[in-house]
Amino acid sequence: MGTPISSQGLNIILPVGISFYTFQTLSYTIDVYKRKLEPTKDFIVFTAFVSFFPQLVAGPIERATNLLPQFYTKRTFDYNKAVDGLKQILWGLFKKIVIADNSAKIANEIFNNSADYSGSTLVLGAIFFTFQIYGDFSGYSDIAIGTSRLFGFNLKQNFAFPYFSRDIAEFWRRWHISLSTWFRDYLYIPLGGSRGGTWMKVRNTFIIFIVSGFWHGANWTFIVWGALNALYFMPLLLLNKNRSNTNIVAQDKYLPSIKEFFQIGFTFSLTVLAWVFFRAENIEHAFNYLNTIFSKSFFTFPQFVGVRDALITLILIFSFIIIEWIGRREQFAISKLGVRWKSPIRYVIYYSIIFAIFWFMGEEQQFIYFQF
Amino acid sequence: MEHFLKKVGVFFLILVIFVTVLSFILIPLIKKSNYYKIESDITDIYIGDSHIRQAVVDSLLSNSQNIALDSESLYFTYYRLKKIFESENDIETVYLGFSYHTLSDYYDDYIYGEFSNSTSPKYFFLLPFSEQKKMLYLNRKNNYVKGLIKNVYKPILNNSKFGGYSNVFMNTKSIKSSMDKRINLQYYTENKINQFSQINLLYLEKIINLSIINNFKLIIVNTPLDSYYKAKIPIEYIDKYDSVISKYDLPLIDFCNITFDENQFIPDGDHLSKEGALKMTKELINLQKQNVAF
Repeated sequence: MGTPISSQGLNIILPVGISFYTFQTLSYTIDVYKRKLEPTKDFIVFTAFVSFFPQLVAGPIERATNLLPQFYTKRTFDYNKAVDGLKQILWGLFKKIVIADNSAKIANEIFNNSADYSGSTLVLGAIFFTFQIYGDFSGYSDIAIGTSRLFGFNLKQNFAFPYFSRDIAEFWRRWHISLSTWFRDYLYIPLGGSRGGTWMKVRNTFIIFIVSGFWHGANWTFIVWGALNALYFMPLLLLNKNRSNTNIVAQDKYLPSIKEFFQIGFTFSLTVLAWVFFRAENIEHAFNYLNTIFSKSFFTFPQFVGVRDALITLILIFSFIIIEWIGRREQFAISKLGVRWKSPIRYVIYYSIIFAIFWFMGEEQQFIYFQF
Repeated sequence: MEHFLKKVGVFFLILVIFVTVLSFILIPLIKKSNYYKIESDITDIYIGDSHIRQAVVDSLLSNSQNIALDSESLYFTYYRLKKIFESENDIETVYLGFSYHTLSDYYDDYIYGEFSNSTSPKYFFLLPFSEQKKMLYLNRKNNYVKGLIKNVYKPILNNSKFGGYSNVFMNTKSIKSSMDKRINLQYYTENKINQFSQINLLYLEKIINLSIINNFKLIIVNTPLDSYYKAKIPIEYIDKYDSVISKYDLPLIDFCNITFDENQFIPDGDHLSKEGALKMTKELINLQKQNVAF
């Protein structure tokens, strides 16, 4: 637009959640324009759709075609849906309080003092941030979706176990699904999508990822994060392998194959590196961070304040990964956990999760995505 | 819906009953536990904050125990010592970590300020009722119960020690940028020099009185500082420190007078690395052997 972007950002006070409900209401406007949806004449229903409290502040960004009709249908109390909703809220709280907040303590210590630490420590910092942002954001989504279920509303899944992805394309089909599908349907496809030759595909893909980065904030770090993901995506796009892994990993097996295991590990490593840009204060910080990672100090033993807390958090993350892996076929990890067992045993599981939430509850950390 | 609400009600009722019963069992356990006590053959204890905690390797000292704890201000040290001396012990000497930063009112945040929730639960059961009420009120928005569970019930159940030597820093050295950050944190707020902590000064006096009542020798320990760091401490703090020491005529071991290499500190120049701790402990042993009258 010819306006230079300040590296400091705009420093404007904005209402919380504006990025989310703006896109949500845009989906209504665009779908009405494209005649996918009849415009509503009911002002109350429309405002309820825009301001639906469980997902107002940090998504999932709901489509008018999905959520609006639900306000018209009479909802009766559904016991199973309500129980499922409560379980999803519980799991969301676990992800946020136990995984995200505990990872945040260590990630913040390392990122805020990255000049003082070795490459191996900075790798740990990046990994902890990777789980912080996942636990934080997907935890919030679970709470939002679970709460909606209590009221009889069905919201779309927003995270489908993205860290088990076998390639970056699969990752982007599983991470912040409501935003990535929004960009696909309202930006990528209108731009031409995959039609119009290779150059158009590449151009449109870069636009999507950079705009996605920009959506997070007017900071070069988000834009570089978006561009980096676009670069990751390019080989798959150009080789037409971006739809290779559309099923659930190890669908009918307990464990992934060796090939799948390495694919997951490689994709995970790429996303960890990209998250460094997302978390860094500025581009210089991010590059210094990565420079230190890829230096000789990578081969030293990690050392930082709070090693014991880090070990405990790593154990929690490992347990969390196991539970997520077992539940990877469901909407959320504990959806079907213990359904065939007697209720006292199920109660013990739920009490254990509640106990873990209280036991590992640390200093309150604000939801990361509240700032977007 | 009624069935659902009933089930949810029963679910949470079971939990509440369980927690209530557990609390009633645990409170007497806390009072009887050895968590706050000192072993019987200990004659010298080292107490204070992270500076002492990382600096004194008590396993090299005979009949000694380092019971220092991170972020412990003199307010908390006083109540710990009071508790320790309520029961029989063989303690003859208390080495108290008291340095320039201890005078700064940034420490008050760990008592009555924004970091109270992270420190005060550990000491909750040592505080008098009036102070307990104050802490509960100050931290009413911080879910104090979880702090108590984490910092009191959990360590007691794990048979942990309250404080003690801990130092994980190897192959480190003081770094100017980290030292600048640290100086700024401890001595300045928005570029203005911090006020002195009246709470710490008050409780230092209370500790001195406690030493007289309980007949133990109180020795002040000023832990080593990197020379760059020391040069950056505001002169007001140096003068105040000297005046406090002389006002109470306190025996002092000042490790700032002994040269420590930059690789004997951690980046903040204010805490010792493992190597530094070994050196300081050996110096301490030499001083004790020489029977220096502090």
